[in-house]
Amino acid sequence: MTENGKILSIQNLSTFFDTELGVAKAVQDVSFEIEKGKTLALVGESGCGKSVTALSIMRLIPTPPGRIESGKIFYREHNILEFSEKQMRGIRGNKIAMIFQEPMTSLNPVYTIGDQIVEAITLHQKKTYEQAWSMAQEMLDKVRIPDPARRMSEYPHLLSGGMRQRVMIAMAISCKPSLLIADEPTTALDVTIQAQILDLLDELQQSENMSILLITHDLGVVAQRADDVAVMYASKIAEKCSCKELFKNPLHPYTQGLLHSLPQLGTRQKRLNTIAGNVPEPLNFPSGCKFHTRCPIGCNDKRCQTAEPELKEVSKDHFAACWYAPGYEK
Amino acid sequence: MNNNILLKVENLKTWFPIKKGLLRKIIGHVKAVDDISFQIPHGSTFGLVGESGSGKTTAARTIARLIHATGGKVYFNGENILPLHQSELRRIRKDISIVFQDPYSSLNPRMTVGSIIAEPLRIHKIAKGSELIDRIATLLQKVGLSAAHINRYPHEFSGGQRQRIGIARALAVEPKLVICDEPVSALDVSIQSQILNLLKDLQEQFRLTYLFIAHDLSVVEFISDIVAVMYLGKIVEIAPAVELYEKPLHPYTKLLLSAIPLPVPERKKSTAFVSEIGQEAPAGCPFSGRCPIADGFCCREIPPLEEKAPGHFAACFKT
Repeated sequence: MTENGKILSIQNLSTFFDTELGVAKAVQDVSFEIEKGKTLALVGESGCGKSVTALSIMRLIPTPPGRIESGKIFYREHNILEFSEKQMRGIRGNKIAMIFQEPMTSLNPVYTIGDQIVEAITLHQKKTYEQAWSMAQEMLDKVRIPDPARRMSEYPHLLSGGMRQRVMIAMAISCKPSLLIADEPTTALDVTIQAQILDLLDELQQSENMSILLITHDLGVVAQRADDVAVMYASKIAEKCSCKELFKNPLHPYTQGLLHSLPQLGTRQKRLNTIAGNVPEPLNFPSGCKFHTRCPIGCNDKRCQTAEPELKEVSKDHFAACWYAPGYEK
Repeated sequence: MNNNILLKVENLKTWFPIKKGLLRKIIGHVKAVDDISFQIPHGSTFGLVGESGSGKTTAARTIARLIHATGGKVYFNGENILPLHQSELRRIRKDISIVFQDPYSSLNPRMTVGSIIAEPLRIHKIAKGSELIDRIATLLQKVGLSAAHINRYPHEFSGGQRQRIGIARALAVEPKLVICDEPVSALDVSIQSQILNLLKDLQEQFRLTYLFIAHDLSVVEFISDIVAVMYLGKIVEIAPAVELYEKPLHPYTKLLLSAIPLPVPERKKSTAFVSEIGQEAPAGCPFSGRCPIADGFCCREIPPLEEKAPGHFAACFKT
């Protein structure tokens, strides 16, 4: 199925959650691919389904209430949705690793930094404790933690937020994964630390030839780091193209709105452009195009209100789901 | 004192004691806010920027008298409010209100929107009965909600709407100074711009003065007239917003500005600062540990905040 260059290929993924109030369709019909050594950014606001997509790839959706309703997730040529839990354990943390948003809560406070990285290594590789320990120390050195030998026997509370995120990255790359999923890796960090962490990810990507799925809501981070971008809105992909193209020629009104609503440094704007209304909740998605309630074109358009546009290629390698995107075949 | 100045802060210090041992002996202090001075003219917005742990929230809370100050003076409308007794504070609390960062934890989930906004009006005996209801309805409309929301509970609203409720509550007492502590950092991008516009509109309408705290420099630039940059409890640079962004003088401000990822798809290598903000300030300039141009002198002496250009102050020996 997959050609040589593709590490991950997702086809028509839908993930639903059964709740007391009905079925929450968190992710619907999402497809994208990541090539070797490239970064795909998944952008969107809270509740749009970007983290659920990541957890689906890792097969970490709590079941019940969650379930992967349909779709295929290919890691190289294997559909990992068909894997047994035992097979999956060989992939998770080994071939596909993940770093989380909150470095404060994703480390175990009662184990030393060293123990936690060693655990990840010995789980997947046949190493003695001593070998794993020295490997872990090398990893800490690689993510530029000063004095790694001392840090190894320290507990997480002694480290700052940026340092903890470095430890998380060290743990994630300790088995040399071919895909790293970074779920809002810098959202909880200060700007200067964010820049350092992003630089670090960049370097590691180049030295290890690793693919990255970068999940973020920050378009600045996307512009600086991504090769390709998929913009998610209300459980679906609204627009998908290369990073350059997205910032030069955004076609979906939601992407346009997002880009225009950012305060721009050094321009002294009098007012900011806004997107009217609120982000819809998964139990209460509007009919038709899910963006029509907030869209300057769609709010008065009959078709937008009733029929949902599919994601289609509107120009070469540029996909959009909007009836009014130039080039969209109706 | 200049009549045009609403808030004047002089040499404000907030230190927290570090206690150790069985007898809880004080062995030192965390100097969260260490000798800062600034003033805010009527009707303007003063932006306070800094990384986590720089003391910006502590400074704001000290000014609102929510944290006890260790030293210094805070003049509000020409009156030093730091020595005021608890019983006299209610008068000040009517004039200074706060919009908090987290719209999820700053509204009581057991109170309706109406009673949340009514509470300050009742406490300050501003309105009651049908007048109270009318005022709440007007306030809700002012912040872009509908009067029909009055009997709903906070969980029925989204983050942006909750922040609007928080703003309505802050404005209910017709304050002169509104302290906005990271009011948009918990919100989605598309909602952020709505709230920032709202704050700007309300400022014009009611001639409000804002003390605006944020870590996002592009947000601060949009809303502020004057911006102060804090680092480890000290103000390292104050300048009019335009000037600060065009001609930053302090190396820390330059570092902050260069670290912002711009929404322009062009890879730039950010500045190679390896170290992070420390817990303990060094003996000399607080930034000397991370500064690319610091020398031995910087590590020993604390640079004073000096006027380097008209209205532009910086605390650095090297500029």
